[in-house]
Amino acid sequence: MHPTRRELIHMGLGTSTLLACGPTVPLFLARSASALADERATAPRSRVLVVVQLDGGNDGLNTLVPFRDDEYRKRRPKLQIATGEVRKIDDHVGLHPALEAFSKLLEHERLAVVQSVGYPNPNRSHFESMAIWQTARLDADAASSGWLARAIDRQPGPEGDAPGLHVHDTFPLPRALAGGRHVIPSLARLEQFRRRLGVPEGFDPALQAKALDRLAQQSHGEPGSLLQFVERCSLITYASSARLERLQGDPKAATSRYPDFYGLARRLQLIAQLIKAGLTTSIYYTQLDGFDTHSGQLPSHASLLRQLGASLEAFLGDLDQSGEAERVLVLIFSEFGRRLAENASGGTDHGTAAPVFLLGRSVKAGLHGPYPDLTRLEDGDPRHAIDFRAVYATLLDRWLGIPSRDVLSAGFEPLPLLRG
Amino acid sequence: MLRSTISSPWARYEPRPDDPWDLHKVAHLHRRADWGATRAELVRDMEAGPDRSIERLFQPAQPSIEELEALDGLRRTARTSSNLDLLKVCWLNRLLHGLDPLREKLTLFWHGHFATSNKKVESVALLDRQNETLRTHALGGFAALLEAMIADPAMLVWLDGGTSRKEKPNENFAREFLELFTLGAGHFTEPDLREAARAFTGWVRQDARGSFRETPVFVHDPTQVDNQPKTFLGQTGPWGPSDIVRITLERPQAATFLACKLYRAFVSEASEPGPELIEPLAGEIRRHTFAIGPIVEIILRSRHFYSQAAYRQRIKSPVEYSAGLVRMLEVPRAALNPLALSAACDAQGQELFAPPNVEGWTGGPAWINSGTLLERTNWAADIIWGRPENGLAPFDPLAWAKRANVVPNRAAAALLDLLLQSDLGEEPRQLALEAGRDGSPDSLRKTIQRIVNCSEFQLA
Repeated sequence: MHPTRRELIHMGLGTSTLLACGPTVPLFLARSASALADERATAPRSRVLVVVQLDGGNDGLNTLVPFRDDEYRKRRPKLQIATGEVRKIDDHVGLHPALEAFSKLLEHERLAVVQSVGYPNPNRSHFESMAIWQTARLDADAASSGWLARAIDRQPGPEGDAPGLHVHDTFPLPRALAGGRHVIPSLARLEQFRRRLGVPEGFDPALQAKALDRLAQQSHGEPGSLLQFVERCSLITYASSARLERLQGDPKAATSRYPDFYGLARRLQLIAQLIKAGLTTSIYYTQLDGFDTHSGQLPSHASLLRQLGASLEAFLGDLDQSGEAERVLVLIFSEFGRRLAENASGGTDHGTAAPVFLLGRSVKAGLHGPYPDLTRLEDGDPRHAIDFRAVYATLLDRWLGIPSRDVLSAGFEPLPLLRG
Repeated sequence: MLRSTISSPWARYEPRPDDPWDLHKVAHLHRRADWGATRAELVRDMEAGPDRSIERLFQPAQPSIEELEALDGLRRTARTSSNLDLLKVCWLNRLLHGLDPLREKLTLFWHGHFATSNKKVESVALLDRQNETLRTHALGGFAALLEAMIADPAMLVWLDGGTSRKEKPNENFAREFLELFTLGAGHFTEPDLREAARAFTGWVRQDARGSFRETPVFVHDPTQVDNQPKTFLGQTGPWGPSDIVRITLERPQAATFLACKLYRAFVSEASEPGPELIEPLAGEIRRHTFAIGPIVEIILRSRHFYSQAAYRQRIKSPVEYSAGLVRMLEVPRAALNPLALSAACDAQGQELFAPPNVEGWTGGPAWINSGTLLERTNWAADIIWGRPENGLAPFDPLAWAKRANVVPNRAAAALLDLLLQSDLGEEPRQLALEAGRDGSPDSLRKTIQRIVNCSEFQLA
């Protein structure tokens, strides 16, 4: 985030300090001003992509339910969702009842559902299929870089804030963000984005904090020098933490209600705080685990979908209230869907194609892609109709403004999933 | 001849009244050649002058039997437990407390060069072995190092050389050998690469035949070697791996490529060096037939190395930053859980044995963003003020002052000399000194924290 002139002055950087910055100042401030002007605009630089990865293989057929389909009824005697309970989207499919929040979002034109997304020769190993989705390489090996890491490498150089952030308390940095040239931090709590002062009470921590603030505002580096680069990052780091601090203390910011007994809701709330603090970070990534429902699926899957829906509803509501909604788009995917036929343990086994969700004000709301054809199965699974890389291409070309061909090493026609 | 040597940027630095051997130069030498000097080392080397100070780096004392045994024990534990964090700790201990820090610096440089990651190798034992191989050859001949890497089991997994047979040569290793290890992109052709891949064939992974082994074992099987003639970089013959190394290093570009890499690692990341800097250094590399130690010595002794073109013209890597602070402050072993140090390096973006990709860590400005900068200053806060839950005791400035023979109310200035010399503006300098004026432990901790929060402290 580039602090504005007013903010710099507010932080105690008076005009004399600004002048002392020398010839670099006008450019620096000019850039901050333009960055600020862009904030409400839809310039690709200020746009944000939030990725929510559903770990374990989400059962697409019980998420977007083909309630009219006889095959579905036949192959899922115990696990089928009753027609009366489905939140109907059209005459063929509807959402799981626990996804009530998603049907509301659909009504408000905030949700696009892409059906039958997958890739050729589907791999049913969690690890390998996830690697394929995260690297966007069908021949991914352990050394392949992530698709988002490659996207980040094709953006202009570092500007203070990290180009991408991973938000989770137990998962390591996902492959999707790994293997690029930039260091992508992983953080679990807002505290990690805070300066740890360390000074014990009684030893005047406030005075030390003030001194460190002053040190973050020095500018001695020659134009273009490494010192100047670090100084700018220090200033930006300081400004980002200060804004986060202010946001946390702001009662208005606290009005948006998150169901914070859900881990995903807490993580999305943290992401919202970072977005509202004006970080220049364009990609956030988080996960929701537990979708590997081989047994006793009905209750566990319902509760996961409830968490997913409620968390995202709160997140989008928060962004609406804070005026950030225009520039944020959410992608939800899983490494694969699950078998059409249920197993004997009241669960489902690893499958293939499944729906992908896009959320935000910029989506072309409604259903995209063909219904899964449950009569034409391949190894017991519906065939994919949309390559997941075409969804990525859409996000890269039409949302982030990064040429997808460079990132995906192949041409995929963007899909009409976004407005405008 | 004489004139060209004298005017070369790599000519020896000789102290002069207007360019004396001083605190700045000694500290600079140690930031680059090892992990930062302690106060005793600064005092010693200011006295000793450049010749003796640099010589000492290349003639380390031998570790005692007890130290070697302790190290072996740690390595064994790491290998048998397959715990990568223990292997990281093992290495960090060596660079903090070992007697040969220059070798550790080069070992880390080569680790970034050959960039082998446990993400694919998945064997602590093989990475330990590669680490030891890098250490052995760190200051030796580049050709021997390359040959060792060609046969290194971790590398055979990492770049798929271990499954490369004559009927189906795998080109992954050959490509990186030419593009990332020796010549750089654009200095070889695709046919050169395919011919090199044929020369690297012959490896068979033993556990592939059904018997499960935790650690992969590779054998060189003569029947799988492609013995036919190959035309590589214009030379035709039945070339094997050592021929490929020899022919590659005969290319003038090989020395230029290595010179650029060493320049970035030891001299400056601030700008791309021009041929007037690189070509004389490449010339020295050829003249010394790719002997690494002598080349590094030329750099560390050179006028250019002690000039403003090099001074604080690198960004400390996470290991340099995090371990460097521990080393300069002489944090006692008992006060520091080394796992916390290795976790700090991970969080700052440099996970040992897990470089991000085949090119290794990018380095320079790529290290720094608001997230990693906070991780850095927060690590410093933990070292200074302690963090019991992570096994870190508060730093004891009075014990340090006593060892350094400094009275407490002068300790602030001595700490500034130690950590940043006088490379900071007037306001930061005043802020650092005024905090520690009364010489109490907490005041001095504030001084240290203020010093390391200066942007200059991020620079090596």
